[in-house]
Amino acid sequence: MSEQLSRVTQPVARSAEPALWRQPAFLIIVIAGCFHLFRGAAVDGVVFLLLAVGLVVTRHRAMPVAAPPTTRANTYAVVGVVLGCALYGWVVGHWTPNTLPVQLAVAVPGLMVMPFAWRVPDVSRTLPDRAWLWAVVGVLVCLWELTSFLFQSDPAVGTYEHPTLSVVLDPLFATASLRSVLVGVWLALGIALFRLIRGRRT
Amino acid sequence: MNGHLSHVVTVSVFAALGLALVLMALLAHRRSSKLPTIGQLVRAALGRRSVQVLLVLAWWWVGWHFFAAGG
Repeated sequence: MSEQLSRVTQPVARSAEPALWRQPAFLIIVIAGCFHLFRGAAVDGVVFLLLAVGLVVTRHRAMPVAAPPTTRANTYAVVGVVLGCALYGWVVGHWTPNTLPVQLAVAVPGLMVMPFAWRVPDVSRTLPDRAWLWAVVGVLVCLWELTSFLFQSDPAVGTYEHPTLSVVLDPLFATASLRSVLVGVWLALGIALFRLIRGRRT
Repeated sequence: MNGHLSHVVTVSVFAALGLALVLMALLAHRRSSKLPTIGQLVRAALGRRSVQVLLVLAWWWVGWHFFAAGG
């Protein structure tokens, strides 16, 4: 009880945090937002840049410390979530792609999770050893994607000669059954991310 | 470089990088591995608002891009 209370009243340690412009995650959001605008994806670009502005605006605002840690999910809860995601995926996957219902089905979960991303006690973190190996491969993927994109004659149209990852993966989204699985997996990942954000403690 | 060859090279590089990620994920789960798992990486990175926003945004954008906006 006293341990939970000390967690709830623990002050936010912001003095050790680097300036926002020196945080790679912030720079990635800004650069990606500008890139989306360049390639003609106005909605994507605006959302990214608005969130970047939100980070700047709230940079010095003390957010409330997150709620007490969540307990490990029991088996019934896990089964319930899996079935729920499967059902969600099956319903949404069978809707006509790129229509308003699907857009809402994707937008609403994001709107529900995003506010929780702001509520965090900022403390210094040390990444595990050799985490840089993941970063190297991630950067290579991004660079190759960028290379393919830049070789396209039209930024808004994929080409056969230089397919971007979206073009390469398009066949996965061609059938309702595959879309259903992927939507369900996407939602499950979002729930897992939400639990990580809500449940982690110093 | 003709169009077909360019296509094959591009897709092959994507496939190789994807395979590298899968192999790294498998290696990271070995008991003696010094490579962090994705879960360990994410947990270590969380705790900073910009990182949490980026992770949620990335997840959200993947869904939007592939399901709602036509890829």
